Amino acid sequence: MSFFDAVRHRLRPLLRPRTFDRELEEELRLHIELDAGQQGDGHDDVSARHLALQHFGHMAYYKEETRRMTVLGWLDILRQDLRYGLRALRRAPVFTGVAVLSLALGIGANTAIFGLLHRVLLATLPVPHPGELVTARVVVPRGFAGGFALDEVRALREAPGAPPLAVFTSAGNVALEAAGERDFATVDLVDGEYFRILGLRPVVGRLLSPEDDRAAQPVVVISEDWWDRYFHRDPAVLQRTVTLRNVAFAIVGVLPGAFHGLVFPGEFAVAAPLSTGALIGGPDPQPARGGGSLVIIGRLTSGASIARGSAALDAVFQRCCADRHSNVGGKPGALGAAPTAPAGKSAAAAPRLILQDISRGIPMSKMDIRTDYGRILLVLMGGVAVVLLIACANVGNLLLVRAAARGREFAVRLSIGASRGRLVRQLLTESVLLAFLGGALGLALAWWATNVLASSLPPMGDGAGIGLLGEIVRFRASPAVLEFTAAMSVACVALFGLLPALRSTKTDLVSPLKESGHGHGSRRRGMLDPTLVVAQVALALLLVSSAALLGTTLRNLRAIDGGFATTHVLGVDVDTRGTSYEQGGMVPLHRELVARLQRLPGVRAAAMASITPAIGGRWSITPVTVPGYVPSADDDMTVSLDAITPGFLDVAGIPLTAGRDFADGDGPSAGNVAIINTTLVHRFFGTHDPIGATIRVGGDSGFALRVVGVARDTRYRDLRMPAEPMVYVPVRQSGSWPYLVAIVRTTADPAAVARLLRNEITAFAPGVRLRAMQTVEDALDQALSRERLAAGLATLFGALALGLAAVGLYGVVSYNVTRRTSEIGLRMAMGARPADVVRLVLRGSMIMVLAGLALGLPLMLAGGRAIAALLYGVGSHDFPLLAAAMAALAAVGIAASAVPALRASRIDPLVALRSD
Amino acid sequence: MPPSGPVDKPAAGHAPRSELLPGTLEMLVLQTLTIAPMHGYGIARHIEQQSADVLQVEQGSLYPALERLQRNGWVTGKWGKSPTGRRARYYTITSSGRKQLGLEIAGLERVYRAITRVLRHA
Repeated sequence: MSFFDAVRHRLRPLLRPRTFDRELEEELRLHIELDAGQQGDGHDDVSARHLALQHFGHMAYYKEETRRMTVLGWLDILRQDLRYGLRALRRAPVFTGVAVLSLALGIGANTAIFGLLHRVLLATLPVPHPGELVTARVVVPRGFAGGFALDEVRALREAPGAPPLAVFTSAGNVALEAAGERDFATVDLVDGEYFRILGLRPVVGRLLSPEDDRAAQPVVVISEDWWDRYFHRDPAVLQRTVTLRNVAFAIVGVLPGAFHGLVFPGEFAVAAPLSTGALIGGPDPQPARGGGSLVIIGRLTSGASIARGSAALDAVFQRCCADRHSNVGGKPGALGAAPTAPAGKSAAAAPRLILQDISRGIPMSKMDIRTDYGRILLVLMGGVAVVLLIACANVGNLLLVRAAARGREFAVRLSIGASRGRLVRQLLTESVLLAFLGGALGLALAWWATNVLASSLPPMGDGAGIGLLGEIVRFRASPAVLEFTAAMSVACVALFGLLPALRSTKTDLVSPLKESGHGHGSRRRGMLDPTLVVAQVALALLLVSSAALLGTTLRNLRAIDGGFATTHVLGVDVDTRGTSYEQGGMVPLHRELVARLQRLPGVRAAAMASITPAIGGRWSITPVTVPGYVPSADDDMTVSLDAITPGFLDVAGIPLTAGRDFADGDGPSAGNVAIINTTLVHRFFGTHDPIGATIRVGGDSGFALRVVGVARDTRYRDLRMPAEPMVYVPVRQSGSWPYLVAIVRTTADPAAVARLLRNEITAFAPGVRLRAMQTVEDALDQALSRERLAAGLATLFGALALGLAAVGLYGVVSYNVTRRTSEIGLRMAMGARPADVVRLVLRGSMIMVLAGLALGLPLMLAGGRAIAALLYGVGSHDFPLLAAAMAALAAVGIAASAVPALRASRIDPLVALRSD
Repeated sequence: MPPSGPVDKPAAGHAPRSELLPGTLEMLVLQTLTIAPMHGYGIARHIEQQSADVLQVEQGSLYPALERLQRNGWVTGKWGKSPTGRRARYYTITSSGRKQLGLEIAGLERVYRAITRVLRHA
C-alpha cells in the first residue's frame, strides 16, 4: 500500500461519508451476529444477542472512536486547536492587536503594490489564450513605419500560411450624444474579424460581424462602463442608439467590463464597423496618398510560431507593400513610435514586416506606462517586501516573548504527556490564525488605501471622474492578487511562526517549573533575539533613506523653473469640432472671446493658444529653415509651433527678451510674423541678431515668417527636459485652429474663476466643448504624478518601517528590563542612581541600534544605487541626506527605549529584590 | 497551574478500561493477521482463544485499532465473501505492517527483559 493509498484511506469518510458509515454499520452488525451464534444452546436469540453486545462493549463509543481515527478525528483536533488558539489570542488583546496590525500593514502594503504591479506589468488581455495574439509591424532602419492600408491587409491575408488577421483603427474626439448627454469619445473602428479573433463574449447582445462591416451598418458595441453610465444597466439597451457625429448608431451589444481595449493603457468605450469610419470622420482605410492607419492583429492558432508567421507574411509584404513603407518613418519621434532601431546601421535595409506578441496589450506609443512605471513599481515592491520582513520580525519577537512567558505552561503540558509535535502544532495554529487575521485586514487596508490613492491621482485626459492612472491604481481583487495575498500570509507564518514554536518547545522540563512564575525564563531560552531588532533597524534605514532620496527628488522637481508663471493661471480647452462653428474653427471666434474673458471679474488678462505650458493642448511639429544655417546630415531641424493670440506670452508669464509681442494688426495681410525662443536663437542663429530675419516653417510648401521677437525658453512638456526650439505664430495668420486653449491670469484663487470662465464661454459660443479645465499648478502636479506616487508611497513605507522597528525595539528593551528587574534592583540597592540605570538600559539599546545602522549602511548605499535612475538633483549617495536618515533612526531608537529605561530607573529595590 | 490546553483524552462519557498496555492491541492484531487475512470478529476470537481469556479486551476496541492500522498503511481492508456466503471486510497485513510488527515485538521484549531483571534482583 502506497503513501497515497493511506492518504486516500484517511480521506475516505470525507469524500463519501454515507458509504463510510454504512460499511462500518454492516461490519459491526456481522460481528454481533457471528458472536451471538457462538453463544451455545443455552440461549435464545434475544439473550445471545444481548451477550454478544456485552462482549462488544459500548457500540456508539467505538463507532465514534473509529471515526475519530479517520480524517474526521483530525478535523476535530484542528477545531480544538483553533478554538484554543482563538481563546489564547483573545486573552492577550494587546499582543494580538499589535501582531495583527503589524502583519496587516505589511501584507496590505504588499497586496496593494502587487495589485498595481500585476495590472501594469503582468496582466494579460482578458481574452482566451492571449499568448496567441500578435500584431504586425513594419520595421524600417530607423524605427517603426506607420500602419497599413486596406489593400495591403487584403494582400497579406492571402499569404500562404498566414495566421487569421483582423484590423482596427480609431477615430478620436468624435462628438457623442448618448441618453441625452454630450461628450467626446474615441471610437474603435474594427473589421468583421476583430472580435472573432479576440474571442470575446458580449455581456448583452452580440458583437460586430463581418456582415456589419460589409454593409457599413451603423451599429456599435459599447463598453460595460457606458452601459452603466448612460443606460444604468438597462437590458433594453439593445433598442437604444448613440449618436456619433450626428449619425445614430444602433447598440447591438455590450462588452465585458474587464476588456479595456487592445491598447495599454487605454479605455475601451465603443466600437463601430470599420466601414462606418467615413461617417464619423475616422481615418480613411484606403488613403489615396500617404501611409495607412490600420493596425493588424492576428491569432497564432495551434502552436504556430511568431517566426514562422512573420516569415509567411513578410514574403508577401515584400512583394506587395514594402515599397510604400520605405519612405515613411525617418525622423525618430515624428510618428511618436516606440523603440528606434540603431540609426545609420544600414541605410539601404528594406522595411520588413514582423509579428509581435501582444498578450499584454499594444503599448500606447506616447505614454508607455510600463517603461514609465515599471521600474518604480519594482522598487516599491522591493520596499514593501522589506516592510513585511520587518513586520514579520516584530511578530516573531512578540511570539518569542509570549512563548517565554508561557514556558511554565508548556513545561506542564509536556510533563503530563503532550507530545512536542502537538505543542508545535498548537503554536503554529496560533500563528496561522494571526496570519489569517493579518491577511484579511491587510486585504481590506490595501483596498481602502489604493482607492484613496486612485481618487487622489489627477485625472488624465477628459477630466471626468477618476482618470486613467487612477483607474489603473484602483484595487481589483483579481484571483492573482488574492493568491498573492494568501501566499504572502503563508510565507509570514513560516517566517515568524516556525522558529519561536520550535525554540520554545525544545525545553528541559525542570528549569521553568523550578522558577517562580514571573515569566522570565532561563537566559538561553527566553531571551529575545537582538538580531531581529538589529535586522529591523538595518531594513528600516534602507527604506527611510530611499524615501528621503525620492522626497528630495520630488522637491527638486517642484522647484524647477519652467520659465512660465505657475500661480494664478487657469486654462481650458475649447473645441469647435462637431458643432456649428466647425467650419471656421476658433479663428473667427477667438478675438471676441478673449475680449469677453478679459472683462470677467477676477481676471487680470486672457489669451488663447494652441499649446500652453504645463496645461498642454495640441502639439504641432514642423521642419524649419533658417537663412545662413546649413544643417548637417543628422541635424534635427524640427521645431514646435504654438499659435497664440497677442498677450498670450504675458498671461502665461513668458517674458520677451528682444523685439515685440504680436499685435492685433499682425496677420496674413500685414505679412507673416513669428516670435522664436532663445533655444532656437542659440541653435540656429548663433550670435546673429534674429530680429527681422525670415525663417521658413512647414517645409517647401510652408510659410515664410519674419521674426519680430525673442521669448525666454520654457519647458512646455517635461520639466526635466531642456527647452525645445519653438516658434510662436499669431492664431490669425494661418490655419483654422478648430481647438485652442483659453488661459486667464487671475487676481485671486483661479479655482474661483473656473465657473465664470465656463459660463462665459458657453454663453458666447453655445455648443462648443470645454474640456480639461485646469490650473497650471494642478497641471504641474499631474505631470509629477509618477514622482508623487513614488515619493508618497516610499515615505509611507519608510514611516511604517520606522514605526515597526520602534515597536520592535521597545518590545525587546522593555522585556529585558522586566527580565533584569532584580538585577537592576540590586544595583540600585548598591547605590546606582536612576540616571545610571537609564544609561545602562540606553547603552544596551544603542548597541543594537548602532549595529543595525552599521549593517544597514551597505544596504542603504545599494538601495540608493538601485533607485539612482529615479532621482533628480540629488546623488544616490548624498551624504547629508543619508546621515540625516541615520540620525533619525538613532533618535527614534532612543525614543523607543526611553520609556522602558525610565521605568527601569523607577524600580523600587526593595520590591524588586523581594519578588524573587 | 493546571494544564489548560487540549490533551488527547477519551471522549466524554463511557470510557472502557483496557487491560492491555497502550499499543499492545495493535501488535496483537498485526500478529494475528500474519496467519491469514481475517474479518474483525475472526481477529477478536483468535486473540481471545490464543490468550486463553487472560487478556480481557472489549471486542469493540478492535475497530478503532483496525482503523488506526489502516491509517498507517500497516493493514488493508477489502470486502469479500465469508465461508457462509456473508459479505465481510477482510483485513490483510502489508509488508510495512510486518516490519512494524517486528519493531514492536523487539521493543516489547527489551522492556520485558528489563522488567524481569529488575524483579529478579529486587
